[in-house]
Amino acid sequence: MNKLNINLKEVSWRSAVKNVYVFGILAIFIIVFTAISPRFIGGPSLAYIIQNAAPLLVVALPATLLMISGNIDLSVGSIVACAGVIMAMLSREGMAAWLAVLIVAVIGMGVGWINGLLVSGLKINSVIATLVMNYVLLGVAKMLCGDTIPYVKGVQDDFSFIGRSKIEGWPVAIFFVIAAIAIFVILQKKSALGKYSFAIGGNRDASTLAGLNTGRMVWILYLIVGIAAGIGGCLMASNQGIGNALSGSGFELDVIIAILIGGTSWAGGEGSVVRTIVGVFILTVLTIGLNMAGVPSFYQFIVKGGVLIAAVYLDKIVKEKISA
Amino acid sequence: MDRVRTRGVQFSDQAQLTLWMLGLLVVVFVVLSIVQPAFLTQGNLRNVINQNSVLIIVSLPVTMLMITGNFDLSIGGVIGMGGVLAAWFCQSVVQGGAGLPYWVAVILALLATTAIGWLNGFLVTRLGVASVIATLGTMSIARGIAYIGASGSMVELGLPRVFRFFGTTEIAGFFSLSMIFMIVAILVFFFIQSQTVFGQKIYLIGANMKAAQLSGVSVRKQINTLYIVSGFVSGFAGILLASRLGAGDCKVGLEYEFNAVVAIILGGTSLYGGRGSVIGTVIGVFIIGMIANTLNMFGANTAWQPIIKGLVIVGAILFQRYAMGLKDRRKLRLE
Repeated sequence: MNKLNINLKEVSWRSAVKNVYVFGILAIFIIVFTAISPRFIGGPSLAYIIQNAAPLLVVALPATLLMISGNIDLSVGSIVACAGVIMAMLSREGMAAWLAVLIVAVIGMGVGWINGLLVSGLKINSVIATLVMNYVLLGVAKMLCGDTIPYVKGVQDDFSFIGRSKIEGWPVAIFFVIAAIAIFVILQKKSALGKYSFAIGGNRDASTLAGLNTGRMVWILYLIVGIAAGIGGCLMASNQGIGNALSGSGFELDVIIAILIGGTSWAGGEGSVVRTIVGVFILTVLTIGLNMAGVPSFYQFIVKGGVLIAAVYLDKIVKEKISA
Repeated sequence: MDRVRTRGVQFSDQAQLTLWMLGLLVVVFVVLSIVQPAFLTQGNLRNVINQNSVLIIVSLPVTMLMITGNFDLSIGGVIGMGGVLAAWFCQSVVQGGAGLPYWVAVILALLATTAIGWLNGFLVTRLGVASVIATLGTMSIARGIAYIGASGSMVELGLPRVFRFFGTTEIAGFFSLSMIFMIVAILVFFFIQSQTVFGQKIYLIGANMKAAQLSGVSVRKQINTLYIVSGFVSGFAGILLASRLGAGDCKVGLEYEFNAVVAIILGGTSLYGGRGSVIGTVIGVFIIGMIANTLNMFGANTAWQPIIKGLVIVGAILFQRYAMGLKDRRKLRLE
C-alpha cells in the first residue's frame, strides 16, 4: 500500500521497539510461571526447555526467512512427521542414528525442492501448494507406518541420542540449537540470500526488474526449510523415542505463531531471525508452563489461537503508534 | 451498466472452465462405470451423493470467499465445534451436559460457530491479517473448544432421541435430509452468485479490491458477511454430521478444509480470486468423491487418497492455466 512512504529510519525504530517488547514478554512469562511453580526455573528445567524448543527452533528460523520473502510453508508439520517416521524406520533396520539423520535431511531437501517447484517453477500460490503438500505428506507418513497404527517403534538405543541425551549435563539438542541460530542469523544479516529475502518480500516486481532471479531465491529458501524440517523431525522423534505420523499436526501453526510473536510481517519485507528465537522460547515456555500448572492439553489449542491473535494485534498497535 | 459488462467478461471465462470440468466429470463417470461395475448402481450413486453432501454445503460459502481472494481454513475446526456443542448443550445434566432442549442446543451451537466466523471477518477486515494466518488461528480455537466440550473424545451418552433426526430421516426412501439441505444450499448460493448485486460485488472484489473499494463497494462488509455465513454453514454441517454419527465427536471435520480447497480449485475457481463458480465447486466435489468411492471399492489404503488428491489438484491447476492460455492466444490471433 504505502510501502514506498516508509523510510528506513522508521523501520529500524520499529524493529528496536519490537526487540524490546518481545524480550519483555518472554521475561513476563518466565516470572509468572516461576511464581506459579518455583521448580520452573533451574538447571534441569532449562535443559528440558531447550530439548522441547529444539525442533521448533530449527524449523522456525529458516521459515522466518521464507516469510520475510513473502512466502509461507504450511507443509512443515507433515515434513516433520514424515522425517520422524523415516528416521525410526531406518533405525529399526539397524542404521546408525547419525546416518539416518543425514539421509532424512536429504529427503527433506527433496521435499523442499518439490515445494519450490510448485511455488517458483509452476507458479502456484504458496498457500495452496504447501497446504496440499501438507496433506499429501501426512498421507505418506501414515502409509509408511502401515495400516493399523500411526507410529513406528522398535528403534535402536542411539535413536534417542540427539533428542534426549545429555553430555556432561548439556542436552545434545543444544548443539543443534546453537548451530541453527548461528547459521540463520549469519544468513539473514551477512549473506546475499538474506538481503534478497527482504528485497523480494518488500517488492517482488521491483526485485525482478532489478535483475534478481526471485524465483530461484524463493526455491532455495524452500529447499533450506525442507532440510531444516527434516532435521527438526529427527530431533522431535528422537525426543519422543518413536516415529509418530501424527506428531506434526499443528506444528506449522506453532512455527507461524513463533514467527509472528517475533513481529515478522506476514506480508513479507520485514522481520528478524533473532526475534523468532525469542518467539520460539515464548511459545515453548508457555506450553511447558501450562503443563506444569496442570492445564489440560486441550486448552492449548485455544491458548495458541489466542496467542496468535494477540501477536498480530500487538503488531498492529505498535505499527500504528510508531507511524502516528 | 458496469454490472452487465463485468458479468459478461467473467461469465465467458467461467462458463468455459465450468464446461471443461463438466466434461471431465462425465469422462470420470464413464471410466469409473467401466472399470468398476459396482459403481453404477442406484445404491452406490446415492451413497456418493449422500457422503459428499456435507462437503458441498460447507464448500459453497468458502467458494465465494475464494472468489474474493480470501481463504477459510477454519471450517474443519468449526464443523467439529458445531457438532460437539450441539451435543453437549442437549446432553442430560446427569451425563455432564447442559440438558437444554434440542432446538435450543442447535441455536446456541450455531450462534457460537457464527461468532467464530465473525472473528475471522474481524481479523481479516479490521486488523488486516492475512486470511490464511487468521483462519489457522481460529481453526485452532474452534478445535480446542470441540476438544474441551467433548473432553478429548465424544459426547454420546444421554442425548435426546431427536438428536438423530437430521442424520437418519429419509424422504421418499431416497433423499436423506442432508441431500435436501445440499440441494437447497446449491440453489440458494447459485442464486446469490448469479442473480444478486451481492454476488456481482464478490467478483469485483476478487478481480481488483482497490477498484471495487473506489467504486463504492463496501469491501469489508462484504467479506465480513461471507465469513459469518461460512461460520454459520460450517456449524450447521457439524450438527448434521454429529446427528448422522449419533454423537458429538471432537475429531470430526479433520481435513475438510483440504477437501474443500481441492474441490473448489478443481471446479475452476482461481487461486487469486476474481474467477470461480458455485456450480464448478459442486462438480469438483463429485469428481473427487467418485474417484475416492471407486478406490475404496478396490480396497485401496485410505492413506493413498491425499496423495491422489494432491496430484489431481496440481494437474487441474496446470490444465486450467493451459486452457485459459489457449483461449487468450486464440483471442490474440483473432485480433
